Amino acid sequence: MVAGETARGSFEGERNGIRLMLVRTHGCRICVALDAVEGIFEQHGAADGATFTLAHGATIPLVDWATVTGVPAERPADETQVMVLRSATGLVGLRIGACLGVRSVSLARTPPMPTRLTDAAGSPLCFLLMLDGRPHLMLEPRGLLTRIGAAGAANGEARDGLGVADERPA
Amino acid sequence: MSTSRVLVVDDSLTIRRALELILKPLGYELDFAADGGQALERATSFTPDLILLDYVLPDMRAPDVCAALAATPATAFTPIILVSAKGASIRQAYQDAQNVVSYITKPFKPQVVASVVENALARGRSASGAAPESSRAAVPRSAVHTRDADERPARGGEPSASVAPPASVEQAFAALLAQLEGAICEDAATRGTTRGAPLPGVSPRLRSAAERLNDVAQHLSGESVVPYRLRSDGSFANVAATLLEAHRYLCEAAILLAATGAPSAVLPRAPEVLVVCPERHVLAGEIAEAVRGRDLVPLAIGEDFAQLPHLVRLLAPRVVVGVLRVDEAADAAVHASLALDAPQTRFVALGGDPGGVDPRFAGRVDGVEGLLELLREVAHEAQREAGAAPDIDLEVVAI
Repeated sequence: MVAGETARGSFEGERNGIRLMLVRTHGCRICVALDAVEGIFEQHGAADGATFTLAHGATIPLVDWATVTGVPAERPADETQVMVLRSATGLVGLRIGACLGVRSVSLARTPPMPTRLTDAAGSPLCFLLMLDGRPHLMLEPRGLLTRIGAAGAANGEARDGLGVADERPA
Repeated sequence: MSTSRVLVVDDSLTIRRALELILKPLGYELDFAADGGQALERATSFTPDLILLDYVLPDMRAPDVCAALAATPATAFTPIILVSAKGASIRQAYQDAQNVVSYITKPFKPQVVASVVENALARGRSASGAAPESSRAAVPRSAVHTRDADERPARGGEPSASVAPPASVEQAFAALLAQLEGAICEDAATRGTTRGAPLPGVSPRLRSAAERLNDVAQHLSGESVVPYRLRSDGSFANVAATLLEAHRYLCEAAILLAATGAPSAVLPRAPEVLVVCPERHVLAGEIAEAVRGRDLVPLAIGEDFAQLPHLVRLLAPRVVVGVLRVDEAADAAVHASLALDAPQTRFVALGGDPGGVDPRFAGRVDGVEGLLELLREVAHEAQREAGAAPDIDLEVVAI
């Protein structure tokens, strides 16, 4: 799958229309704006498991979804692909199990709901979006990078920086 | 020059807005189309003097659009500029397609767009005066631009003095934000809100979005390690970066739109209740039916149990209602969620053998009626915590 793929029956002509790449990782359905997807690649020989080397030799941080959410979970054996995401502060790779396709949606018709887990800037890490009646998590790549940090990514310390923006008393 | 009509055809709303930001201040009359079909329709009704055509469209290829336009009497001689991120690789298509006089590669500089557009219109005017009967004569091949040419003011003249590039990326973002904010107010007006009036609870979020965009703009301009560079003239260095932030903003905008349409003007919030129930479970249909029409969001019930602990972490719901003892996958997901450090979340068992309920569950409800009673309790709890805010909608996610 290559970034820039188009989809028929697009909602993009509508206000707040957007094309989303759907993937699955750790059993979760994740969607990312297609414009933010650099590409999906087979994982190959990552020495430390925390970085991914692109074809032209550049090394980028590689994130596991369970690390991002802070859920202690074994990495599924079938997660052999890496989705490379663009963000304004650099590229970041996310381990995925499968690409589920590209969907065009109108965010005005299906408004995303912010989740309570926030990035370093206090913005929701992702939004809950109901597609086909199933929950999908619309991911903001920049949040990934600000969460993991350059050093934290290598050391698997991402969960230390997690913050739950829930003002309710425990 | 200032009354020339330009049709912008691009499936990306952001690109259309960006081109609008560049061309509208120059006095061009603009119309927009999001795909090839729309382009053919608008070209006939709008009768543009020039068409900016995205090379990749959802429904048609650009050469096919060009051929269809050339076959239509009203647009047979209309010059076309291809716009594409494919760079020099579209050169062949550019040379082959009918009526194409130039192309612009993405990312583009505002002054390059302005200059190429003006040159194409000027050539079209002079050529059509000389040989109006020939579409080929109206689109002289001397208008060919190389990529190098696109990187500097187009040959044939300096950019018009009226082309004012933004002094900084921040200003450009601010202009984009202002336009989008106007669009939101317009939408709000159609939903019964007074046009132009400040939207309650909206402005702070808009300001917050603007601050984030400016924050990114500062990153763009200050960090040498960032692959997206701020050009010395202040133009966008990388459209992708702009698109990303526009996407983020659109998410905000979608939330705001939903908020203004809600009776209580409460922003959509993360769901308060997660219901875990297999799709084929006997209670699944009853639950779906019960929440329908009760101001609860009726959601389909699936079997993606593995994501339950992740959703608990991300959403921090008040209550997780789990149907137990259906299969190992569901049990494992519920118990993995129970093992999380999530003190804000109560776990309640739905049905099941009373003696077999895990002691870590806070309680147990019987059937759909019991579930609805629990939902009412949660709603009252939310209202109490929100103080005077009335009509808090309770949203339920069933997975």
